[in-house]
Amino acid sequence: MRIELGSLSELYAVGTRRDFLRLVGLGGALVLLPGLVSACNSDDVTGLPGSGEPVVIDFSVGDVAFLQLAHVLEQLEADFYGRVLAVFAQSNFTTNEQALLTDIRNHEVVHRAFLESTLAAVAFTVTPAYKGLTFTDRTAVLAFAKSVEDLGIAMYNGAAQYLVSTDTLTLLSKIAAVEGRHASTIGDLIAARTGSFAPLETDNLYRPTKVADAAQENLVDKLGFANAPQIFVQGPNGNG
Amino acid sequence: MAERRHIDSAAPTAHAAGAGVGPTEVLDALQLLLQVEYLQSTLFATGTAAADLVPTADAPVFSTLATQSQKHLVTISAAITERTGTPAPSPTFDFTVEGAFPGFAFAAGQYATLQMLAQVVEDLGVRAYLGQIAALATDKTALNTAVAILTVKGRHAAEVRRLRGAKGWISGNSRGDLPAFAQAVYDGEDNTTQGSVNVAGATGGVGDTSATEAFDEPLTAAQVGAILALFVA
Repeated sequence: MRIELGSLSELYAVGTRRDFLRLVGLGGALVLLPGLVSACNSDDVTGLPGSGEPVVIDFSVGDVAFLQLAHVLEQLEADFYGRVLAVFAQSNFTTNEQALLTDIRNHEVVHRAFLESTLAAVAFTVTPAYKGLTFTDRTAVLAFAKSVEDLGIAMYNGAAQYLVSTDTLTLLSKIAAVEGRHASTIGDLIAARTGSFAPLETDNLYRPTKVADAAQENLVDKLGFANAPQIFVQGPNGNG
Repeated sequence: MAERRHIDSAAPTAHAAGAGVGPTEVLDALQLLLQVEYLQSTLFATGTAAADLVPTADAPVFSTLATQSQKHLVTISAAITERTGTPAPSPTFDFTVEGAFPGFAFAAGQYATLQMLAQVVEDLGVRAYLGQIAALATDKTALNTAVAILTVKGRHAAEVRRLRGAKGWISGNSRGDLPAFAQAVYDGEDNTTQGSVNVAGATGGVGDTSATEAFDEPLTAAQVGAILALFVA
């Protein structure tokens, strides 16, 4: 029998402890996943990436699949910023920075709500995973924010070529433009008044599978695709 | 008052028969975006070249804006020629904007005005690109180029706003402290109906202002043309 422990809290869960004791008595294998070590130092553990239930986006349904993928990322962003806001009292952000991050969180909440409403019955919820991220630490938070904003931009930009409805294309581009404003702000907070706000003259475009690979690192759910697009036209950076 | 010239988004283009000819609406969209790129590139090139205008502390930002705007210009121009169009020429610009900024001459001490102009042209650029995305949808390479530039325009717009002490995003339809001519760049940004969703009602309690900030809004080619015309000498 193999028991995987990702956090100390799991060790103290009744069922797990009983199994643990039986396991030790039987000489079974106890696997401490890498997340356990970092989890001990984390302010919050939400779950290990890919350890949850499978969620599948089926691209044969058309534009809806891209709305679902966008909804996954907006859920991650809204959840992340929400956790940052929740511990401002213990953080080393300035008051002005707190106001900016609050605005960004609000925008992501709006994006998430818009996509959830649009998807209606085919919306699904995901659980983010943060693997030991310290939400009170300005440096760590800004680094994560940069990566998630850049990923969102690459996702929206990469989705454009597949959208059948030009209304949906314009709608998602309107969100993407604001994610550009977010990424710029985060970049400037990381390195003020440098070129950090815009590292490249053209932003990335990622194909959906590249988006999923990156997003999986921060999702408890096992994200999967069915009927993923076979052809992807690269963007100007050629790295999608 | 001088006759107002309009930027013709359907500038004459040379079409060759055979492979590589883009649909008319793709070329028209690219020509309009080219005019926007001329406006931005000229502003930033002139601004960064002017002596004692941009403070040293902000020079890396304006240098980035100038370099990237020029690259956008080259990219859009190339996209036109690749589709056997002829890029329309650049207008001669008047950055006093018909006297809205009287005496502005990229001179020392006029940085505040340069910053206002930067905010106008960058927020305009975001909305101009948004307005042309649908027209490029049939040409995947052109579409990809446009979306890849669009989000960078968003980055530029946020940075120039924040250098002025404003937020990186547009609240309601507010032009802030910009002169009255700039209102056309902000009208419509207070929209809260996104698709079939009233986002002001669906925000989960974060408020109407956030709902307007969360989405940028397209401007039509005609709207962009009318604003561009204000800058033409």
